[in-house]
Amino acid sequence: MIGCINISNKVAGFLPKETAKHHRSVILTVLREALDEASLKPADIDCVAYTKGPGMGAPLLTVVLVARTVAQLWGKPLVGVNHCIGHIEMGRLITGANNPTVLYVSGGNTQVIAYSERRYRIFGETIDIAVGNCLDRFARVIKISNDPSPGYNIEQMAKKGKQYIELPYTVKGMDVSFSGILSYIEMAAHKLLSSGQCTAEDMCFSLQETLFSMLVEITERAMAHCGSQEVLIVGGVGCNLRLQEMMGVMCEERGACLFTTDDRFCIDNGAMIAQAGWEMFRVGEVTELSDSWITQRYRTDEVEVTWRD
Amino acid sequence: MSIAFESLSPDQEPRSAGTTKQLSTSDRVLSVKWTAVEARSLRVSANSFLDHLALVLETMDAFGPPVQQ
Repeated sequence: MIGCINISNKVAGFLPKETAKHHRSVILTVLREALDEASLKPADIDCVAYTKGPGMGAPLLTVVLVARTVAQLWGKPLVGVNHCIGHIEMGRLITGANNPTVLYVSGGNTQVIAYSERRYRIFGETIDIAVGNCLDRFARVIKISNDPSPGYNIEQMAKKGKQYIELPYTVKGMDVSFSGILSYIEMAAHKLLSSGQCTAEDMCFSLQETLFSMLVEITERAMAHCGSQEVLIVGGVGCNLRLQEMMGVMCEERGACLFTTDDRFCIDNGAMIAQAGWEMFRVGEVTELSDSWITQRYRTDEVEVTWRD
Repeated sequence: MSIAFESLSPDQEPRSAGTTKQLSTSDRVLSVKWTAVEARSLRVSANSFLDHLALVLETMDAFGPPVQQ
């Protein structure tokens, strides 16, 4: 397991070159520390799992180079893992959810996923930007701090919101759209704030309520489609307690169970790649060195799920 | 030598760049042959290759030598 990241840029989010540079500067130390902390020798390892995609090319490439090299040094097979499937398998392991409808919400992804016939099928997704991206960019508009994260600060401010500002509500069938909401709030923010019509806290509250209602709506519809009685929330935005609360209300009304994890497992981490890699390795899936390329685009439903019934 | 070769071989150059890169090994020498349309894309490719090679070598230093099977 290799995992560590906390380098979001103060003004523009993650940039490929900087992120690759960061990975490059810490990867060998992190790998060494992971082995030492776990008191593992190379001989104790079954396989080397790495992220095949989706993601930014440069950081993915940095990691796969090290993965290929240690796999050869230790004589172990490689297993290429889909990042989104890492989240799902980690969530299932931690919560014990058996066959959940998955809401995957982060800075780069927004998908409602359910397992059927050997695939994690995407029932609904964003047709433009991810929900976390929408929140982060809103935070920049009204200059909310990045420390510890913009989403966390919006969540705290939203608790003090007193009035709901009407925002566009853009569910399109099973899909959602966030870019229009962002444009709307970007245009309205300064006028509303300077005229004293509402506070920054009210805007945080209103944005969260709108975005999360949309997510709960499409999740509920996916559950109805599949007859599912379990919901699992994964991805960085999944830490948001208000989202968990709203999803909880919907689940209670349907007599379903909600499974969530805290920030240790919600946010991108190395263990989730290890867990998904282990599931794949367990059923004999390995990636030959010559096939161990990385890919920036890699949809969740491209992977044949051979490790589940 | 073969470890570095295997670690660096799988990644293709982006097709749009018009650059190709061919790796080969013999004895203890790793050779790379580039073809490129523009000097600029050749430089970009060669530079990033050297970065990647350095990372692979550092990894071999840190976690080598190979475990005997």
